[in-house]
Amino acid sequence: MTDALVLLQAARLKGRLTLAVAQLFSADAEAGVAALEQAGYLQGGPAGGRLTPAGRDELARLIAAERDAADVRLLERLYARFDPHNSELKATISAWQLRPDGTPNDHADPAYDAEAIARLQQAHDDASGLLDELATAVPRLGHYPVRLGAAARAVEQGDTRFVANPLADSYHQVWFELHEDLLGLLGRDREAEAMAGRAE
Amino acid sequence: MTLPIYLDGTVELDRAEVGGKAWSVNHLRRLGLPVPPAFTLPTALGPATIAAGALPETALTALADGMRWLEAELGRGFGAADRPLFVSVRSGAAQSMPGMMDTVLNIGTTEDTLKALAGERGEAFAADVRRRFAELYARIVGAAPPPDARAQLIAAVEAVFRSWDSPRAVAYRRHHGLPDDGGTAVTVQAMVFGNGAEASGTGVLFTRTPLDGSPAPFGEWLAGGQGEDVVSGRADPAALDELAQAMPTVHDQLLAAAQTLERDAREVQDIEFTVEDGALWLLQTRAAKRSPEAAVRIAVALHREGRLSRDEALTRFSDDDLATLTRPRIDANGATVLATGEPASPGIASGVVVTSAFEAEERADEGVVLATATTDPDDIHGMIAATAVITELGGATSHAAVVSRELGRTCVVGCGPGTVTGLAGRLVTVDGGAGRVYAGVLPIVAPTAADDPDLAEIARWRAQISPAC
Repeated sequence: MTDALVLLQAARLKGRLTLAVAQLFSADAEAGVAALEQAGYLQGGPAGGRLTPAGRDELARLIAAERDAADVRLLERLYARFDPHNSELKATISAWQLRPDGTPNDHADPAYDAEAIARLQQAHDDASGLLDELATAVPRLGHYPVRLGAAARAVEQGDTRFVANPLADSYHQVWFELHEDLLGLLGRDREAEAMAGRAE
Repeated sequence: MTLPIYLDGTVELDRAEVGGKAWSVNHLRRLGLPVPPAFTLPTALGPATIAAGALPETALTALADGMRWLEAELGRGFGAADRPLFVSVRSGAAQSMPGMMDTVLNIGTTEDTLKALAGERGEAFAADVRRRFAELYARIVGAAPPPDARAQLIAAVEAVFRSWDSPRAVAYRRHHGLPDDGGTAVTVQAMVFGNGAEASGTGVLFTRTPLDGSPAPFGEWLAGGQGEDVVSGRADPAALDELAQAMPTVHDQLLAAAQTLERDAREVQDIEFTVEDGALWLLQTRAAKRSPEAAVRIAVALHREGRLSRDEALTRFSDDDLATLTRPRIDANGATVLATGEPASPGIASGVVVTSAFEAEERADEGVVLATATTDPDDIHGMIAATAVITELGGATSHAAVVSRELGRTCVVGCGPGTVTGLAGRLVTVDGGAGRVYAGVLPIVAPTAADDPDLAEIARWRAQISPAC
């Protein structure tokens, strides 16, 4: 049942849910996905399953129920601590994509890139404690620290797609999904957060 | 080898031995140009310093000899209560890397020297030097500065030698498989000040205009300013014409020096200079950063002027630079601008505006522009399907911006609430580099050799190198 929420959320965040992607989120993905398709919440397809309108409703219902049962004050505290890490992470991604003068980074300067990557690793280390606390408070979020760690390791080993590529389970992509998940959990609206300078 | 290495231009030096900055100072002197005098303690002294935990005798002697020479060159005294000499200490190695020390400025700041400085340049400036020196010294050397000038100098020099072994530098070398021998040299240079009411100031000069490569010198001049103010953009500088009016001799000397430097390097120069009490000093010169367009135009110009061979000129710009010149640009004559925002990812694209990722995917074949307040993770497939992405909220670090850059998708963000979602159904053209959304599908012009003599020249070169069959 918890898995239904995890997998529906995965489908929502990724847009298309292949088995390989589903397995990033849940150990028992195969059975879970099959059950959701059976229930009409996921529509299978060649590029991966998509949420049906019924699936979206069910997801919203499950998240609301999760919010009701959660220790909201604890979550609000954790989210407040998330905010500075979010800002630093975004600045780090920027440093990777852009030179200080705002022009695109052509990655021709290995020293510059090494600094950007070191900064990303530092941001990850700094956030790790909070990420674990989030996973303890909401076990469903446990796959995020795992995936972020995997992305950080991949980058460390030289695969720079895992910095920000949206089609890989990259650091920026996973972090963004985590943020999206937290917004849903807290009943916050991304646009309102953006206008408050927190989401964007 | 005599110690220290005097950067007086009498011999050409080895960059690997003294570092890029020291080499440059020496090179400027060889060209007969005015540069604040400096000397270098070579890398060879590093290991002994690190092993002993302090500068060995030979280094202390070299340091004292070097300082005496600086004093003689300028008629000033280190730590003196009259006409004091201030120096900077910097690292220099064959290869720069993170963790190597930043430059410590204003060494020689003591109660006595500050009094004299106040007399020469004003109380406010002296107070500023006091504060800046203490902050920078503490940050870089890692302790509060001692009150004695010589002690400050020794501590700074030792800190530079030690910085070769800083954790970040070691990690960098490990990561890049670089050897740990090598070390860094230390360069001590006299400081000159552009502050002061009379005949002083600071500026930068590009030997050609960096935006488009045209041969007119381009520069900025800040009368009474200190170097970092111009470079950091904190102060609002005037054009070089003001220098020409205020100090015509200095101005002419500067332009002559600029010519010499450009000729010597056969490359456009970015020159930092200071004028102290009517005397011109060059602080630094390097190849000027320039726009891709300027890179191409400058290379062609230097070839036409006989400074570069054709093959050399071809190395001065990349295919990407050339692509910028030939890149399609919008003919915006008479066009209506519907929205402006922050350029997030460059490109030019047109399409009909849709406001959901789902619709973007459905109507991809028509050519759609995705317009949303912000983007969500599950918008990714719509962003891929669209020709461009425009958003109302968010800035350069937003999801839309980050993802668009990764995808190479034209993108403008932060156009303002209600500005672009309201364009649903309209045909628009997005200029990602300019951050503008225009009404309609605008004509796109692509410059070719037929209308651009520089492009024609390059085409000729390439034909000469590899004639088309």
